[in-house]
Amino acid sequence: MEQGLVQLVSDLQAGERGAFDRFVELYRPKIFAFSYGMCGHREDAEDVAQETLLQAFRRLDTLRAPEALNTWLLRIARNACLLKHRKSKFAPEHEMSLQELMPGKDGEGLPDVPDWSRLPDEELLNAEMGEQIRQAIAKLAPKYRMVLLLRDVQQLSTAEVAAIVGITEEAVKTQLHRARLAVREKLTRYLKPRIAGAPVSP
Amino acid sequence: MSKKERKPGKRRARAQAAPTSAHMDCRELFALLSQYLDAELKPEACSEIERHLKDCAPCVAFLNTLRKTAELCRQYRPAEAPRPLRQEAREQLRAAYQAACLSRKSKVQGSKSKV
Repeated sequence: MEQGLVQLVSDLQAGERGAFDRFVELYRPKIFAFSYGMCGHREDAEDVAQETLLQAFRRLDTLRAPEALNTWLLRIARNACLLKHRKSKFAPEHEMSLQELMPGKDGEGLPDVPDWSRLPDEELLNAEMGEQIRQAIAKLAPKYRMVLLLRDVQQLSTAEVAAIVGITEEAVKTQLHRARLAVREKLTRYLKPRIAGAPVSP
Repeated sequence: MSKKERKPGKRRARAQAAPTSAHMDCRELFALLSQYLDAELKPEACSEIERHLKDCAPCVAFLNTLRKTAELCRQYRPAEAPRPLRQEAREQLRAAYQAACLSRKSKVQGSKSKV
């Protein structure tokens, strides 16, 4: 854990001058990155970031371990997102089964799979692909979206995600896999024409 | 993809095994790929998956694209950034923070006076 973060939390809890501004400047964009992924709208995401910071200040005393700051904040943000969810439109909850996510016919193995993973970076890391990924994440039902955002985008561990979402580590793994499969499927549909005729990797 | 291999048991009958992989078929492997990528499986399960992958090009392609999907998600950052905090919103936060500091101070003083 960075020394700077421990110091920041300690300064914040001690009411040191400047700690408030530093904390808000540093963590508001981080919370926004998560809430924007969840809500899909800038205004809603800003509301969630504001509510999260407000709750964080009100409960500042309950943060015992500075190294837990990130997960502590994201747990508050997750609750704020769920509150927002009740008030606005999210994608409907939909359980995705492995069966529906597996390409090919039931009872058979995988059909030929276009391997777009070897496309050059210019094809995969541009703004258009960024938009495809955003759309793919936005289309996921909230519970899958939340796990994918926390685990892959925020790069938290399975245990941290389980603690934030309030589910078992096994459930995190299951939901993450299904979320990745659905995003992969959407990216495949988008990228398939670009590799038409290219051989499947050996 | 491979031809159906008749094996006893309902699971085997439903799913299809790769030609040389008697232990794990595409469907079983498919369920475990993210855990494999995240190094969350036991060594025995990893060995089984790797044995299957040796002979199953579609599963290799699927694994490659799933790995790339996770990588792209890790690199993904929203194009939108929050607008600068409005003065009113900043003051609301500052008030909550100052109230928390005051409450903390009075708790500390209260516990000192008890001593």
